Amino acid sequence: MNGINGVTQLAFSDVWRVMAPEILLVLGGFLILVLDLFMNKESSRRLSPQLGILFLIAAFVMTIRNFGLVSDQTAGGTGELLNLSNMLYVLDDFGNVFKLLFTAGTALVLLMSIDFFKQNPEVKVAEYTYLMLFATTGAMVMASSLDLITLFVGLELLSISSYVLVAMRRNHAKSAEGGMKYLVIGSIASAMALYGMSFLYGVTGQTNLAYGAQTVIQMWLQFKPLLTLAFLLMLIGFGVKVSLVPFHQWSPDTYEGAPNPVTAFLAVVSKAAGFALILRTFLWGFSGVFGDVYIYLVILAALTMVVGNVAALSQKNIKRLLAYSSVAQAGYLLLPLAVLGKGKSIDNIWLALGQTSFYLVAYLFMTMGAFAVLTVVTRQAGNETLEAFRGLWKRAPFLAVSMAVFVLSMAGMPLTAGFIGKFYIFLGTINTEMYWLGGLLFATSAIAFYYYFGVLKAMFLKDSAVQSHDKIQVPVSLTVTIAIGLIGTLALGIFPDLLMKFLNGLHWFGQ
Amino acid sequence: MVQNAWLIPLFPLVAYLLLFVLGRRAQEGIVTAISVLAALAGFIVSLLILSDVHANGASAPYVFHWLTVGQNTLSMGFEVTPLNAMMLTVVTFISTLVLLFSKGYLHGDARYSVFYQYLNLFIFSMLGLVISPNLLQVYIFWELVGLCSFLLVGFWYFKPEAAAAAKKAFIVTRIGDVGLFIGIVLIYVATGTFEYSGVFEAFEAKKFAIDWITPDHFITLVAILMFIGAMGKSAQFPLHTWLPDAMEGPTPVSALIHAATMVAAGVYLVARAFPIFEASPDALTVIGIIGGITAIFAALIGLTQNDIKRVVAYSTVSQLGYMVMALGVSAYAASTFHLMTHAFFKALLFLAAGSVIHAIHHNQDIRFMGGLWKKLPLTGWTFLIGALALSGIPPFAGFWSKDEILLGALKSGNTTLFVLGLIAAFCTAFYIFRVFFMTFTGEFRGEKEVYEHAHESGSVMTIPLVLLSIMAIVAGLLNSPLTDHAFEHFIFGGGEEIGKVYDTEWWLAGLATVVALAGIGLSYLMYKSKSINPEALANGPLRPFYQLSLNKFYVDELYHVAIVKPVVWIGHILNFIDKWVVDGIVHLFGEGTYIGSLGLKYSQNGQVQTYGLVTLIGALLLIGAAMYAVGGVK
Amino acid sequence: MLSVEQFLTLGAILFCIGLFGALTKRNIIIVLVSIELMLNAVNINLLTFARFGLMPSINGQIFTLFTMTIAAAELAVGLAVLISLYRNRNTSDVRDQDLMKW
Repeated sequence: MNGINGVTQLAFSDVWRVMAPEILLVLGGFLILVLDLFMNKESSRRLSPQLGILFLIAAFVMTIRNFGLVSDQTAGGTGELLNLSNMLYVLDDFGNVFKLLFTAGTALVLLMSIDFFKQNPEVKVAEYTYLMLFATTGAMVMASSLDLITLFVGLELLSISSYVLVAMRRNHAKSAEGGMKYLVIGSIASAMALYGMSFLYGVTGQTNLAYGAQTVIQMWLQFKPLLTLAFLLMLIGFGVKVSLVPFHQWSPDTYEGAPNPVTAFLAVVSKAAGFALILRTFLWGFSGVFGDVYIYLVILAALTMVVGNVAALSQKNIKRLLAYSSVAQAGYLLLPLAVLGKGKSIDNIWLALGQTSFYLVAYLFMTMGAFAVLTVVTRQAGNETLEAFRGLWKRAPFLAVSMAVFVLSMAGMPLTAGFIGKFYIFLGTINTEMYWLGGLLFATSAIAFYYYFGVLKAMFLKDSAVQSHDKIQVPVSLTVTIAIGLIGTLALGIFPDLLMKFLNGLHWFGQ
Repeated sequence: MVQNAWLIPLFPLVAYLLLFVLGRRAQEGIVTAISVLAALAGFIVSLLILSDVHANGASAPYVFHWLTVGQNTLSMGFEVTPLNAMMLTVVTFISTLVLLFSKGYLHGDARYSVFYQYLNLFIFSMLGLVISPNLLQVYIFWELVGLCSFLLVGFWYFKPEAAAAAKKAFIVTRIGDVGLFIGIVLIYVATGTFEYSGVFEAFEAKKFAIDWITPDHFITLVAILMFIGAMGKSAQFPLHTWLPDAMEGPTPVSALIHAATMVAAGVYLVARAFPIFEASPDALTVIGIIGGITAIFAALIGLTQNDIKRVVAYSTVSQLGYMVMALGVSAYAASTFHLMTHAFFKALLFLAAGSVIHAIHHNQDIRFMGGLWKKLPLTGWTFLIGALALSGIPPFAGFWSKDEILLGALKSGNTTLFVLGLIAAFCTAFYIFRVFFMTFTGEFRGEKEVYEHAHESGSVMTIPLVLLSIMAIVAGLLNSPLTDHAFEHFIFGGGEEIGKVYDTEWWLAGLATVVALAGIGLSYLMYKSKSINPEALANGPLRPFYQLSLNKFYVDELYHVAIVKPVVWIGHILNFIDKWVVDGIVHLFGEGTYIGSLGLKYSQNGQVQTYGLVTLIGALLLIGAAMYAVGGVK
Repeated sequence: MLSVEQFLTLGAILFCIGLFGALTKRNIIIVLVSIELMLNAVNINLLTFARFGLMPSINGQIFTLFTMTIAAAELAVGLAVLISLYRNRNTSDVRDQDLMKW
C-alpha cells in the first residue's frame, strides 16, 4: 500500500471468492481438455459444448454474486475499492457488468456452435470449447485488471485463442487465411500497444494504472509528447482489436473466413473486451489528462462511424456487410468515452459507462440473433450473398421476421434495443454539447437504414432465388439463440428501464 | 377501478389486431361484432371508472419507468382525471354507435374490413391520447390519430377529391404539429420532464433551465407553440381549411373523428395543460381572439354552403371556436362542458346527415333535396333535435353549454368576444335550420326516381340516431342550475376550481334563446314560407356578402394567391436551381457516397500487408498530428 | 557509459525494422519473425526503463518475462496457422493469401 486512500486490500485467500468466475472457467477448460483425452471421440463431441455452457453459466452466477460483494462493501460506508495484490486486480461493478456480458455472449456462441459441430465433423469440438473458455477468461482479466502486465496477458490470452478459433476449420482455405490475417495484424497491434505501454512505464515507473495515474498528472507537462505517444500507440493497438477505422481492414476478411459462431464471438465478446480494456486504461491511467487527449478518440469515432457505414453500402456479401456494420458499431461505442473530454464530471462518466454497457448488451442480442439466422439461411442457400435471403418471408416467416428485427435494431429503429442504445448515446453527445457528433450519429444511421433496407427488401419483396420451396429446418439450438436474441432486442426496446435502472444503480468503480 | 383504465384503449387495439389477422375478406357481420363489442366493453369500463372518479376524485398517474437518462426519468403509463374520465366515456360511447352505424353505411364496400381496422386503430390512438400522463406520450398518440385521420379521409382514395383532402388534412395539421413538437421539446429542455405534474410545478414556480429568455416570455412562447398544435388539430382559423375538405371521407368518419373526438383533441390538450396557459395572460388573450374569430368566421361561411356535410363541418369549426374562446376567457368548465355536449349533438347531426345521404344515393347537395320528412321521419326528427341542440334552444344540450360560454365571455369583460359569440349563435341557428328546411320540407328537387326509392335506413343506423338524440336532449341538464351544476363539481374533482365559474344569468339565457329563435325564424321565412326570397337577397344588396360567404371568405384562394402561387413561382426558379445545382450536389453526394463505398470496398485488396500498411499510415498520421499539436515536433 | 537515449534509439530502430519486415516480406515465416523483432524492441525499451528510467523498478523486467512468453505462444500459433494454410494452398507466400477481398 503506497499512498492510495479508499482501497481495501483483500487477503490472498479471498481469491477463491473474488476471482471465482475466472477460476471456474479455467478449471472448466482444463476439465474439458482432460476429459477429451480419456473419452471416446463421439461422447467428447457431444459432451464438451454442454460442459462448456454449464461452466459459463456457473461463472455467470458467480459474477452476479460478486455484485453483492461490491454493494456490501459500498454499503459498509467506507466506499473502498476491493482489490487483490496491490491493485493488480480489482473487484468492481464495471468488471462485473462486462463479465456478465462475456459469459452470456460466449454461452450463446457455444449454443450456436452445437449446430456448427454437426455440420463440420473435422472440427475438434473439445479443443474449440476450451479455447472459447480460455478466451473468455482472457476477456474477464481485461475487464478486471488494473495493471498493464495482467491487462496485456488477458489481451493475449483472448487474442491467441481467437486466432486459433478463426482458423479452426482445417480443410477450409478461407478459415486459415482469415486466421493468418487476424494473427499478423493482431500481433503487430499487440506490439504497438506494448511499445506504448513501455513508454508509459518509462515515464511513470509503474505498470499499475491506479498508481501510475497520479504520476501521469505530475509528469504531464514535462513529458507531454512522450505520454501522448504512449497514449496513441496504446489506442492504435486497442483500436485494431475493436476495429476502429483506419485499423479495421482485417475484420471483414477475418469475419468472412471464420466459422459463423466464431464471427459472432469476435463481433460481440472480443469487441466488448476491447472496449473494457479501452475504458479501463484510459479512464484510469489517463483520467487526469483526459481533456488533452480525448480529441484523438473523437477523430477515430467519427471516422469509424462514417467509413464503417459507407463501406457497408456496396457490400453484397452478408457476412462482410455485418462485419462493416460491426465496424460502424465500434464507432458508436467509442462515442460515450470520446465525448467525456468535454464535461468530464463524475456523473458524465457514470452516464458514459451506462451508455456503452447498454449498447453492448443490445448489440449482444441483435448480433447473436442475426448470426444465428445467417447460419441457417446461408447454409440452405449455399452462398453468403444477399441473394440467399431472397423471398425468405415466404420460405421461413419466423426467420425473416427475426432477421428484420435484428437488422432494424442495428440500424436504430424505434421499439428495438438498438434505437434506445443509440438514443442514449445521442443524449450523451447533447449533454456534453458535442452536437456535431450527435448529428453524425444520425446521418450515419440514415446510411445504415439504407443498406439494411437492402436486406429487408430481399427478404420481403423479392421472390426466392432458391429453387426448392421447402420449409427451412431450423435446429433447436439455433432456434433458442434466435429466440433469446429476439426477446432481448424487443424487451430492451420497449422496456429499456429494465436494464437502465440496473446500470444506473451500479458502483462502477467501486464508489 | 381506476387502475384498470389501461384496458379501455386495449380493447380497440385487440380488435384491430384481430381484424388484421382475419384479413380483408372477413365477413361483415363478424367484423362489426368484434369492433362493436370491443368499443362497448371500453364504454362499460369507462362508465365504471367515471363513477369511481365521481366518488373518489382523481388519482395519481400510474406509470412505469421507461428510460432513465442521467438524472431524468422518462416514464410511460396512464392517468385518470375527471376530465379524461369524461372524455373516455364520450369517446367510447360515440365510437360504439358509429361502429354500429357504419355497418349500414359501408355495407357492401370492398374494403369494409379495412375501414373497421382503421376505425379501431383510431379509437385506440384517441383513447391512448386521452389517458396519457405526459406530453411525450401525448405527442406519440397525437401523431397516431393524425395518421388514422389521414387514412380514413382518404379511404376512398380512388376519388381524386378524397386523396387531395387527405393530403391537405395531413399537411395542414402537420404545421400545427411542428409547433406542438417544438413546444414539448422546449418544455423538456427547460424543466427536464414530460410529466404534467412536474411541468405544472415548474411553470408555477417559474424556474427554468433556460437562460436565453425570461421566464414570463418563455411561458408565453411555449403556450403559443402548444396552442399552434391545438389550432391544427382543432381546425382554428387560419388552419381550419382542412376540416371542411375532410368531409370527403365516409360520413361515419366525419361523425366520429371530425366532429366528436379528434378535432376536440386540441381543445382537450389546452384544457389538460391549462396551468401552462393560465400562467400566461398574453397567451390566453391570443387564444380567446383566435377562438372568437374562428367561431364567427366559420358561422358566416356556413350560411351559404350547399353541401349538407360542409355546413355541418363549418358548424363544427365554429363550435370548436366557441370552446377555444371559452378557454381563452378562462371559462374552463364551460369549455369542457361544451366539448361534451357538442360531441353528442354534432355526432348526431353527422349521422343524421349520413342517413339522408345514404337514403338518396350519396347525393350531398341540399339544393336537390326537399320533402324528405315524409320518407325519413325518424331521421328528420333526430336531425331536428340535433339542430335545436346546436342552435341553443332550451332545454336541449347546446343551450346550457353555449350559454355558459357566452356568460364567461361577458363576465371576463371582453365585450367584443361576447358580441361575436352572440352573432355567431344567430348565424348558427339560421344555417342549420336552412339545411333542415331545405332537406326535409317542401318539394323534392332531385330526380323523382330517387325520391320514390328513398326509405328509412335499417335499425343499425336508426338506433345510434335515437340514442344520440336522447343524449342531445338530456346531456345539457348535467350542468344546468336544475342539477346544481353537477358537471362543474365533477370536473373539478371536488378540488379547487380551475379557471373561472359564474352564476347563471337568466337574462343572458333569455337573450341567447331569443337570438337563436330569431335565426330560426329568419330561416323559416326564407326557406319554408318563402316570404323572403333568398335569391333576391343574394343577388341584391347583399350580393358581396353572399359571394364572400359562399366562397368561404376566399381563404383557400387567398392561400392560393398569397402562398401557393408565389411558392409555385419561387418553386419554378428553385426547380431550375434544383435540377441543375442541388440535384447535382445531391446526386454527387449520393453517388459520391456510393463511389466512396466502392472505393473502400476495392481498397480491401485481400493483402494482409496492405492492411498493415493502412494501419501504419493511419497511425503515423495520428501520431504526426499529435506531435505537431503538443509541440514535440516543430 | 551508454545513455538512455541510445538504448531507446536501438529499441526504436529494431521496432521499425520489425515493422518494415512484417509489412514487406513475402514469406509468412519471415513476417512472423519480424513481429518477434518488434516485441523484442519493446523488451529493450522496458529493460532500459527498468534500469535507467526516471523511477527504476523491477516491474519492467517482470513485464519483459511475460512479453517473451507470450511472444513465444503467438509464434507457435502463427506457425500452426501457417501449416494449415500451406496444406490448403501449397504456398507460404503472404501475397497469395487473397481468397477474401473486396
